[in-house]
Amino acid sequence: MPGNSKAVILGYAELPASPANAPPPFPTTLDMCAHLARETIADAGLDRDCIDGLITGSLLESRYFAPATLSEYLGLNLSFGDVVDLGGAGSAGMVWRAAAAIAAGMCRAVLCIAPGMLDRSPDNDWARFGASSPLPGSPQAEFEIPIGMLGQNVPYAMIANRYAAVHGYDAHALARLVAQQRLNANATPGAIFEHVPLSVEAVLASRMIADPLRKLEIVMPCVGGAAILVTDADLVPAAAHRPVRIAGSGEAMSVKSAHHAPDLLCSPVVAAAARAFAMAGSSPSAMHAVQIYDCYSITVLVTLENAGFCGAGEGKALLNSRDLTWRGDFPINTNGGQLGYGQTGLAGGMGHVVEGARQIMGRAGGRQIANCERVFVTGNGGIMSENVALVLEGW
Amino acid sequence: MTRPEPLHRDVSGPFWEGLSRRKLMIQRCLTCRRLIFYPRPFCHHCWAADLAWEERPPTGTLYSFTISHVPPSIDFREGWPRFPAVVAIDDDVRMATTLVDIGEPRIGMAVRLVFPDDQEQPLAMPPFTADHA
Repeated sequence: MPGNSKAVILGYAELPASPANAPPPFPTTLDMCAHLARETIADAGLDRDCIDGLITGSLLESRYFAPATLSEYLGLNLSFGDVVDLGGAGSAGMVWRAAAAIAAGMCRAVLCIAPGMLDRSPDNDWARFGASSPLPGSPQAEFEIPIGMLGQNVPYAMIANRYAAVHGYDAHALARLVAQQRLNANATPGAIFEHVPLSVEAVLASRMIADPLRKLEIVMPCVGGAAILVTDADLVPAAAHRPVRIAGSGEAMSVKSAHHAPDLLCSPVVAAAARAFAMAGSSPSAMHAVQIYDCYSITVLVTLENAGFCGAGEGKALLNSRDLTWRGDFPINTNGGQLGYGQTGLAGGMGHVVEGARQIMGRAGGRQIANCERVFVTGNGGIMSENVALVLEGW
Repeated sequence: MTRPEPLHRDVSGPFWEGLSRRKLMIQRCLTCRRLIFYPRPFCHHCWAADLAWEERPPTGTLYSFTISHVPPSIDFREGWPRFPAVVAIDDDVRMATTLVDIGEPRIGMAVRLVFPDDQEQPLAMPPFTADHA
């Protein structure tokens, strides 16, 4: 049996996305985490005393010792604590790490919390110019920052232009993806664009940010957060929601800055997805929905090809021809994805995990896919530099 | 607010000094023979430590680029480079750079490095331009 088969996702909690310039919903990241923890354990139907594992994203209030700092705030006793530093791949990365810790016998119930508060400190280099490594000794500080090779818009645009040169570019296909995901967002309470319709034409008319990527193909930063509880299958209570098996997982990374990748169109998704499907004994054609990390439209296109849902260069035809809504024959990001729900900082990736679990559990309300048994989920960090793939299955 | 200043690592000395003498200096691993960039004290392909600097032709191929309309922060508002690019010098060497005097850039086109005019070590990676040679 695959190593992850002992572990299931038993419950979740998710905050609505709130605008970046609105008053934050909690005074501190610790308080947001506490709220998410309390909601998640209640959702799972277990007592908080069963929690013996904790994985968190970084805490604004505590540059170091995040797991113990949060454990102290929450009053926990842990046999496994971790912080995951894989950017947007962190949330999906938490899922298999929790399952692995359970399979290793280290713990039995792991709270995985992804807070998405915004750092408003004035000296935050990441917030100012998107530099992860601005300090002396960093090759990024030597070769990239001085020429403004920073942030995400420019490097993702370079992926898009490389795609254009190799396969030809179809702006309409990408705009259609965004518009169809917006339809999914329009069916999702809590999505930042729940009440805002969007047409293909409006996407194509939006401001060019870094050619060929336009503003409406790029996520809008928001505040929010989400959490899940991963437990040993033996802990599932009688009155549980349908547990979600973590049937397969894969992870891959090699470089941080995209220009060092041997092939901009061959991302770590290739290896991560192959490992996840192999572990699950499954394949792309067996999936009922995909929840694809979508910081940009181009990220979804390259991910779908790299994960084997279609061949290289065929993603445009897929995005142009299939029904990508929750009702359709190829549902993508059934809650709108981050393009439609909002990117809640590093917690944006947990939204895809939660939506995958929610659909399998049959709790997606007005956007429920019929007979949803298997969902493919990706996490993506940096410039498609760190990728995680998960195959979730109903138990 | 000024731009963040570049922070040159000591190991990169011959690279930056070479640019002041109109030379593109890149390390080669004497064990696996592959080129190394950005500079390191060891070969990241094979982990050997036996490296040598060699002069390479200052030309390459345009691997990708974009036209950037929005600078990444207010620090870069002045003279915002509008053509961020990646140039492939070799299978193992990709440089993040900018494009100047290039007209309509095409991925795959031949490009060459624009050395600084002033025989000074530049503070930042120089740009590339079309190579009509």
